[in-house]
Amino acid sequence: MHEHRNIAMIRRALEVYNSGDDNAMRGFLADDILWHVGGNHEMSGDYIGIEAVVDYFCRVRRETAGTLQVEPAEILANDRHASIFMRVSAYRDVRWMDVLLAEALTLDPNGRWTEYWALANDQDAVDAFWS
Amino acid sequence: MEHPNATRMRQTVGAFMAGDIPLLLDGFAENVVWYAPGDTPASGRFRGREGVRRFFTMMDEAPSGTLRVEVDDVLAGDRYVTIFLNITAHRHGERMSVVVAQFAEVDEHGRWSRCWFLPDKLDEWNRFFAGANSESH
Repeated sequence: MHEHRNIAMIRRALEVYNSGDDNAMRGFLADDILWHVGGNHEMSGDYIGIEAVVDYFCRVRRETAGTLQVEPAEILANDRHASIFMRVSAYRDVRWMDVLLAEALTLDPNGRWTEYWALANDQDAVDAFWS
Repeated sequence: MEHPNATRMRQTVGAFMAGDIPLLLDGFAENVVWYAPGDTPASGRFRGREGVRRFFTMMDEAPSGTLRVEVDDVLAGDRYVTIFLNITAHRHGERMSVVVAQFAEVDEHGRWSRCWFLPDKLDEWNRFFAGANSESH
């Protein structure tokens, strides 16, 4: 079956993210993106605008000493929305996290991300990791 | 043509809106784990169909029957489903209007085995459901 173009675009975005080039992620984000991080930890909350989101990426990478990796289990997309189910693993000092993160995205007509939601299936583990 | 799991998810939401609890619960695996975010009495982890029933009862009772759930879009594959919902409710002059991203994992029988969701405006969600029935999970 033909893969939707927005699925291919998300695959590229995840490859870029895993490469550690946070600035290159700008190409996938709308200028006024609204980024919601669920849970109850120091990273939770809303990040508004592309600069805030890229800063968030940099902070996550710094806090995890570059160990955070994402591995998509499934990517779903149509013209307006996308969803990514992916394994996220990282070290932070002596703590280790390995969870399934669900992400939902709204997309603009060019496939850029305009709004983002993320919550893990084991949110307690994520909260403990960032506490 | 819509994926069968997308159709099933629409049926689950439709059953909730129709108040058809048996049909609603039939969509879930016996050992389902439902995770509700936020800081309300209806937040946390609910286990089994009985746990799911308690969660939905709290959701429906809190806004005195004004809760409205409208499906905006559904994305589905064989293993996972994501549904985008516009949810509104009002109570005592206070109105809530949020977009919820709801995630579900599908078991081998086509039932929801793990579910979790996140509203776009979690503060608004927390304020509105702060008075929900605080029955234990």
